Amino acid sequence: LFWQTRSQDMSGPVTEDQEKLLDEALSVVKLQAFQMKRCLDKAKLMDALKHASNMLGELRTSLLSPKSYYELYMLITDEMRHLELYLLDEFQKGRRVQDLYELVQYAGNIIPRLYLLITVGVVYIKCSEISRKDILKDLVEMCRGVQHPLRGLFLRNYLLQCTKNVLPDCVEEEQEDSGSVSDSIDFVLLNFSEMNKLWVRMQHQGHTRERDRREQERRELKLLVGTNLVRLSQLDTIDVQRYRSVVLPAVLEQVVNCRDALSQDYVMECIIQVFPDEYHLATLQDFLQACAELNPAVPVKNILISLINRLSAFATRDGSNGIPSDIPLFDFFSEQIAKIIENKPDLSPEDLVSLQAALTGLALGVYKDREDYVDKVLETTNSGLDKLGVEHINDHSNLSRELMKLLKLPIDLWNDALVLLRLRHYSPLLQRLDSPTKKSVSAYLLQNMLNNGTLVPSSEQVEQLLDLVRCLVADPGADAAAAAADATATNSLGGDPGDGSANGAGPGSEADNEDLAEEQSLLGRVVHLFSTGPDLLDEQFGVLKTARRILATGGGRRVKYTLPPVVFHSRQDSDDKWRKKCRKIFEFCHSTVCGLAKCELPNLALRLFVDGALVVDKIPFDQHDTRMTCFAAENHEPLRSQTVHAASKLLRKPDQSRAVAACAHLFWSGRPRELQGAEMRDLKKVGECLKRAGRLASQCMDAGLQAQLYTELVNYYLYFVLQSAGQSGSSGAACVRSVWSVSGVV
Amino acid sequence: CEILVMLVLVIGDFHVPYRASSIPAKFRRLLVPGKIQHVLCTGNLIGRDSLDYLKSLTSDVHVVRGEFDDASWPETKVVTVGQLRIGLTHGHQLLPWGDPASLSELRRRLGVDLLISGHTRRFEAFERDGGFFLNPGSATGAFSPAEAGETPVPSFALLDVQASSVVCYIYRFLDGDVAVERVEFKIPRANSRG
Repeated sequence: LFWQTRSQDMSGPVTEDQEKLLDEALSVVKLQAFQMKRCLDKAKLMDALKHASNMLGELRTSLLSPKSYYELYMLITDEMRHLELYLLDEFQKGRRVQDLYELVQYAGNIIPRLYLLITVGVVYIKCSEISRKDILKDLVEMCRGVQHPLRGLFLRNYLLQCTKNVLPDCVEEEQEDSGSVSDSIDFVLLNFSEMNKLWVRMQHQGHTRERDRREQERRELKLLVGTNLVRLSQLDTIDVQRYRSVVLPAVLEQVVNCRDALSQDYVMECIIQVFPDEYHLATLQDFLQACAELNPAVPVKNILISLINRLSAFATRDGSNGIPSDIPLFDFFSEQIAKIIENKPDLSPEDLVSLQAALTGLALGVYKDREDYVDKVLETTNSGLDKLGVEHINDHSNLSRELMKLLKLPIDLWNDALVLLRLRHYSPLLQRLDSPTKKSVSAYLLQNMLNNGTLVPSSEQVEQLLDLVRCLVADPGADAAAAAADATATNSLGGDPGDGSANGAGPGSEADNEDLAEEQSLLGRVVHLFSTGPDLLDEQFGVLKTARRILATGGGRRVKYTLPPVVFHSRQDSDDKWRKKCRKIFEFCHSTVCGLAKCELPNLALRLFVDGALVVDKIPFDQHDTRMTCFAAENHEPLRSQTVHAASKLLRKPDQSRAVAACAHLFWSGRPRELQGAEMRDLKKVGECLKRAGRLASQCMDAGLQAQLYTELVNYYLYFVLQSAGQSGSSGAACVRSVWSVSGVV
Repeated sequence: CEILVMLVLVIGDFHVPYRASSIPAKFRRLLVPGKIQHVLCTGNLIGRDSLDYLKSLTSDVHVVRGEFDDASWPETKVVTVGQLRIGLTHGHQLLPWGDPASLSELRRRLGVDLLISGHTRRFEAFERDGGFFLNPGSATGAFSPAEAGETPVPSFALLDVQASSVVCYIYRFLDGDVAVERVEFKIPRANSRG
């Protein structure tokens, strides 16, 4: 037995009284025990029994609380052990005491009498005196003499503890009257029902205003009742058959008929925990039937959830054979839960959801490939919530928490987001949640996809996925339909400032922006999972088009994270198997990037354009298109001079100088097509650039900065001189001269 | 005397989320907090998650700006670890990209023994003009237009800076497994700031 520490709900003087009473009782016990042992040492049995009787008399009290009574009981029963051992010893040495069993029945009061009787009776059984069967029957019947709940419970507990190892555990009687397991079952069942009756009676003792305290006290005593069930589970000879035909029906009858909520709640739970899972599987219908007949105040949901979880664990444990195929477990529970929901109009939404969650756990654990089971549960949950009139689910409510747990289960147990997309009722349920929780679950799903590398191989599925996580993709109200209307036009990107709320170029708080960055980053990373596989490039392109269309509805704040991945992903696939398609892809990229430019992300757009140019450069094109920024022959010259020109127009002089100097490289290592990939090495142009850069540097106001610019220029000159070593000619010499002149200025 | 372990992680060009979703799981398992003292990142992280990840490994994280980074990191950085002076830059600023001579020029300008750069997404480790040059490649194997047609190999480097030399371990993710190679540089004793 163990006691939970009880909070001090008793008033001061009462507690002090209890302590005082207990102390007094304990000192009497110690004294009498001492005397008893002294008498036993002197082999004066009758005197010892007298002292034992006195000691046991303390258990007649009505004044002690259950907790104190327990302490007293523990001490006394400890001392009784001495007596038992003495008697056993005597008997084994052949010194039987005549008619001891009858003798002790002359003890004065019933409490000492019965405790002594039990002790002696067990000794007789252990020494094979008289019929075991008869003694056990006698003892369990005799205990009826104590009808006071507290005293009766402890007395019967004593009976149970003492007989722990002597209950017959065999199918047939070994000797005459030694008893079989049927007798043990009868014994324990009778003890159990009597104890339960006493326990229930406690509920109705005393004033109604003390009801809470009484219930608390009852809870403290629950283990006394439960030990009976434990004892039954320890009888090895009880097999499934016997359990189903004898044991369980009797227990259930007692439980259902007592109509007491506290008892029912505990005992049903106890049955689940104490008996093996195979037994539960075999008796499921009986058990569930009983559940339906329980007192309405019993939280049946807890019992059901407990059972479902246990069976799930059983089925999925290593080495288990799983659920026998003739037991439609899912159907059983599904029906049962439906019945409960029907019979309990006051069932709270979170209880409904937690029941469905347990059922989902069962489906996912035991019937992993039955997606329809999970979908069915989700459907039931949805309609259940509808019936309860649940509209808005507050973010911090229990319901929100339970629903989130339910929705995360399929993500965790399948690890395959694609299956989720096939469930018709997942999304509706998800969308019921409030925005922060919804985003949290959506992000959870995306993270799961990244962790598992779940690829999304079709346009349709991309659309479904992005629809599922739409709370992350766009602000509510962003019109995806309008965007779909013209998918390739650049103004399909809802980034026009005139769009109002969908664009959200406004500041937002620091934390908001960080959160947004995080979630959009996640979304962006997932774009890389939109992959049809190596040879289905047509589909791949379709996939990315769909992605772009949907992600674009996110507005300016979001596309800066989500669209570049689309662009890069599409570039990656443009290898040289694909000449014709390339052009389409580049148009796609081009329009996307233009859209980005419109969204006030010019830097990004610029970088992406430049990057695009690089890719194009690497692919041999048959046609040249003026729309493409390709380094075709006719375009070189103007392009280079344009760049130099642009460089010299930069805002600040130092920047101009540096930029023009950098342009020198254009004329050196640029590889125009007509030279078949060789470097230009136009030293003259290089020299011109650097001279111009030098002039710009000399116009700089800040002397220190000027010096720095000149030093950098010297480095440039050195670079080209070293590179051109071997190239003779006046240009080379001119270069070197320029170096000296610049150095001279420095 | 105490043996100080000075491990420096050299890594960069993540391009998450633009060009890649994450670094290979096997890399993540190798790079755990508490083992590495310094992190030198060549840039182009892009997203915050990569930065947070690096910061979780150690507190001394240095990052330079890549052409796609938004944050205000410097263009170049100089860090001293033990006897070694290390320069760090992304490399998109140096023309032509990946050109050894340009890199050499920058090394002289910064006055460092070892110059770390990125951008090309191709791993490099070589000695030239009295200095050492290291490019850790891309941690995610991010697609680079310059390498279109080649399969990108995720890679990073780990430097073990000792008293007179630095051992460089190169980790690459090839065919689903991590392959490690080793290169050693001797640190010049004299102050040859060429």
